[in-house]
Amino acid sequence: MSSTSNFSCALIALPTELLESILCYFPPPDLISFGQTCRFAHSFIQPDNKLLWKCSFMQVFDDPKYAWNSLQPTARAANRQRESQWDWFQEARKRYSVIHSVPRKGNVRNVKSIPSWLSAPEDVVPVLLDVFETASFSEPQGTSASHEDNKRTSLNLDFLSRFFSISQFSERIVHDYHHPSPSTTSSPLISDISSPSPPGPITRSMVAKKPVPEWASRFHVYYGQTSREENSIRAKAAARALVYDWRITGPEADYGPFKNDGSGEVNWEALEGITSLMNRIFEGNSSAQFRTPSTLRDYVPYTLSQDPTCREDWAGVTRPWVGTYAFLDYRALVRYNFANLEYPMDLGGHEEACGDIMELLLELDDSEDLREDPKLKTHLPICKDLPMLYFTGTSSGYPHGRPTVLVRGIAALAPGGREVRWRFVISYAGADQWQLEGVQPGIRCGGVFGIWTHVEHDDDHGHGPQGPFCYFPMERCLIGYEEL
Amino acid sequence: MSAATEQPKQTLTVTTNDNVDIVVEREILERSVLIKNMIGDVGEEQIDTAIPLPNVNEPVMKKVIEWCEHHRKDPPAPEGDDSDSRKKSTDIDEWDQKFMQVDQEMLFEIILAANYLDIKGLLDVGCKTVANMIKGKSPDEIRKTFNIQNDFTPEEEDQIRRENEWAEDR
Repeated sequence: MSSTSNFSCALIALPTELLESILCYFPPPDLISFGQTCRFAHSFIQPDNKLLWKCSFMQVFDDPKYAWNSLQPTARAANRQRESQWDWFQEARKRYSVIHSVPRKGNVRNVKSIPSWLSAPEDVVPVLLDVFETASFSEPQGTSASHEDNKRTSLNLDFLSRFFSISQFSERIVHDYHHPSPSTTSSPLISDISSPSPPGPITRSMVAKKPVPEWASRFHVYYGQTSREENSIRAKAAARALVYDWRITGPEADYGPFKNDGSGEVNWEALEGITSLMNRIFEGNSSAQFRTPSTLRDYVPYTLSQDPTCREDWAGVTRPWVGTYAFLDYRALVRYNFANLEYPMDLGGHEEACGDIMELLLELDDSEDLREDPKLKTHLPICKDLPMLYFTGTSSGYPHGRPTVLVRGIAALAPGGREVRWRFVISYAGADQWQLEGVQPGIRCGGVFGIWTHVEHDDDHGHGPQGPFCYFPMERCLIGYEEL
Repeated sequence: MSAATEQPKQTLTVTTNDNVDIVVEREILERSVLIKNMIGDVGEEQIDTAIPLPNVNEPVMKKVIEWCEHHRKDPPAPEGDDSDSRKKSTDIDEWDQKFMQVDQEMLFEIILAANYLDIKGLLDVGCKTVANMIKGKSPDEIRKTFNIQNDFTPEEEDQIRRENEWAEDR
């Protein structure tokens, strides 16, 4: 063995392309370990060896091109810069660093470092969001006839589930908007885990003071209910404080979970509050019959089946849907909205009532009647990459037993081309009664969450009964649909 | 023999770099794209001339032939597939695993020979075998396995370790 050079070592002496053929099987940790053996190996695996790092990245993550290729033109155009700046090594490093940052299970010494970890969610959550948004599914191994979506695998979803199973602390990085008093921590986003009891009542002014970053709300919407949220009165109070606040929406948002500025863009903070309440309410009222589709896997776009004989139904409208709605006692709603804004009412104890579980049967309907229907018109901008869809249908209790209610509505791409906005107009007793404005966080995935109001909004104050609703594709709710 | 109704199996002779002639069935030898192309180039009538293999010795060539014989009916490798954008598996079938139970010198010679002779299947098995010898090992274990000399100074080693902490698989 030579002491001056490693080229007597058969591995190191291999022609470059052969060494590459061996190293291309390695996930980043193995590549890095190899790079630590000697100078030659170290120089060989430098980030500028892009082919090698691409292979390595692909051992652990889905190739982002599949998710990007599925974006609608407007969304793809907005993503171009990201694509052009993509660097396999840097992306792998970012993602591994996130895993590395989580305090370990049972490592008592590290418990003290949790608040500092949580104080920089902006270093972690956007990375997780990106992992989610670049997820794609591979075809199942051993291609049998059963190409069920839920049998297919995604490396990115595996990575996320690994992140959230590393320790009981992982989930704390998911946005928790029932933040404690800002004085107790530098981060208003994250609950102070050391004090289970609230330091003081949540005030509306606190909620309104610091806008929640959009990435925090978005990731929470995709992630679904966290375990701390499940039993937290404060989480309910904070979600209600948002959802039952009349100011959350208005004519400039078509009375839906959109920004109240006429832009038609999704108001993610509102949507987060709605999903928080509705996932819990649906779960609580239907868990005997249905599962609640609230896992990351449920929110990967295009995972919901599309009728192959009806290509124009890009949103997968025509199918059974199941969902429900909730409402606060009307006097409480009014009192909350007219109360002294400096000392608002804490809605933590005001449990809302839940409507029945409703089954919607929808079908595309491209008739002139619907196209000209003033109740289905919107002045908000929509993304024109895909045509607006019109539909009609019925709503009935589940199991059946209530008089049938008529439903008609629209599905359209929200500005930006990623989310779908839905409107349902509910009619019975010979008249239009309710308008449901909702958002589905991705095309053909998860569920639709939104706000219901009276179909007529011409009351003096412009406000009346208002509450959250949700609808999920029935097939996602069937018990036995495998969870992530 | 020539009177048999079945067509006689055509054989070829290769000469290894240690001057040994090996007679092999043509179908087996044609697993090597290099040899297949050589035959195509020289034409059928020249086929009884021995093919020189200046980069392969007899023991290695015998191993290569053994592999080709076992895999003579394998379908050709798919071309232009999307394999570089999907996870690669290092799974090796049982026969190949046993076949690759050789000393390291032989292993690397098989890889080099498979590369030279252009036998993609054998090259893949060889690379996967080496990859599996490295996977999950610490830098020090890798050095020991392949007899790699650590030529870092202790300071460099320390710095590189700190730079790469993010990839430590905990």
